[in-house]
Amino acid sequence: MNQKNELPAARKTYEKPVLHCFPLRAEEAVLGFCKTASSAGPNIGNCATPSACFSQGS
Amino acid sequence: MSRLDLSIANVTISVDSGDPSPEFRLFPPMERFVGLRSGEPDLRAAVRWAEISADPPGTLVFDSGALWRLFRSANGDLTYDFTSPAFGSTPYRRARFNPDFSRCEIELDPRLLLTREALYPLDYPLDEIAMTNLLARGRGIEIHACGIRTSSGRGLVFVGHSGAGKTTIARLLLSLDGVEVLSDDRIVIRNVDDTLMIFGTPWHGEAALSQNDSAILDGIFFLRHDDQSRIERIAPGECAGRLITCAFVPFYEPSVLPWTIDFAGSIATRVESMELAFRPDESVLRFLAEWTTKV
Repeated sequence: MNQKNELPAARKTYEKPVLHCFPLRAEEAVLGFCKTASSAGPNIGNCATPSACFSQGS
Repeated sequence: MSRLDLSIANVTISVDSGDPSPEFRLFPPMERFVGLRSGEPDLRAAVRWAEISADPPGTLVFDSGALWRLFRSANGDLTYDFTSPAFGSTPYRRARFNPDFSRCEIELDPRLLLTREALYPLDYPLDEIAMTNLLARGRGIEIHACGIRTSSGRGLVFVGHSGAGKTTIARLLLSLDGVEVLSDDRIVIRNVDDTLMIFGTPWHGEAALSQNDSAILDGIFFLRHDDQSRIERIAPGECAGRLITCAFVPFYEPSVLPWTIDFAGSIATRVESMELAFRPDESVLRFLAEWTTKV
C-alpha cells in the first residue's frame, strides 16, 4: 500500500520543559551533625563527647 | 569482643582489632544487624589505638561543618577526621579508606578516648558514612524515609526531611495489623535480581523503630503536613528529584553522583510515587488503606 496515503500517526502535544527545584538540606545529607533524644533535626555543633554521639542526625 | 561483622541491606562490613586492641561493644539496635562472616566483605576495616597527629592527612576535600572533615591523599585514599567540641580541633578518630571503600584503617586516640572501656569503633557517623559511600558505588541508595512492610510483604516508603512526619506516620502505621516498620528514619533501596527492594537499617528516628528485614518496594510517598489528608500522584521526574534531595549521598564525591542519579531515576520510573499530605492523626490511615491492604 502506498504509505503516502496513510493517515499520519497522532502527534503528542508539545509540553514545554519545566524546571523544578527541590530543597536539599546539606547538613542532613552529608551526615555532618548529630541530634539528641530531645530534639528532632540536626543539632549544629552540639555534641559533647564522642560516646554520646550515637543519636543519628535526623 | 574484638571482631565485628555487620550486614546492613546485604552490604557487609567486617571490623577487626589491630594491635594494640580496643575492645568492641555494640549498642542496640545495631545488634540486630550482626552478620556471619563468609566470603570477602564489601568493607574490611582494621581498628587500633594510635596517637593521631593534628597535621592534615592530605588535601582538604570537604568540611561537614561539625563532626568531620574529609581529606584526600596523593594516592587517592580518603581520610575522615572526626572531632568533638569536647576535645577541640584534635581528631579523636581517623578513618582512612582506599578509593573504592573496600578497605579502611581506623585509628582511635588513647589520649582522648577511654581505653579501658569497650567501644563501638564505627560510632556515628562513621558507620553511616561508610555505608552511604559503599551504596553510592553501584549498590543502592539510602533515603531519609520511614519504611514499612505490609502484611502481604509489600514495601512502602514515606520520604521527608527532618520534621516532615516520618516518625509520626510510623507510629500511626504500627497500629495496623501485620505492619512491620523497618525504620522510622533511614531506608536503603537496592536492585536485587531486577527487583527493587527496601531494607531496614539500624539508624532510626525518635520512635527507635528498626528491623533487619526487607520488602519489595511497591510505593513511594513524599510527606507533607496539611489540615486534610490527601494523596496526589507525581511524575517520575519529580519523584527522582525529590528522592535525591532526601537521600544520604556523598555529594562531596562527584565521581559517584552519576550512578546515584541514574539509580534514583530508575526507581522513579519503576515505582508509583505520590505526595501524601496528611493530618498527623489516624485519618491518614484511611487514605493509605488501599496500599496497606493490597495483596
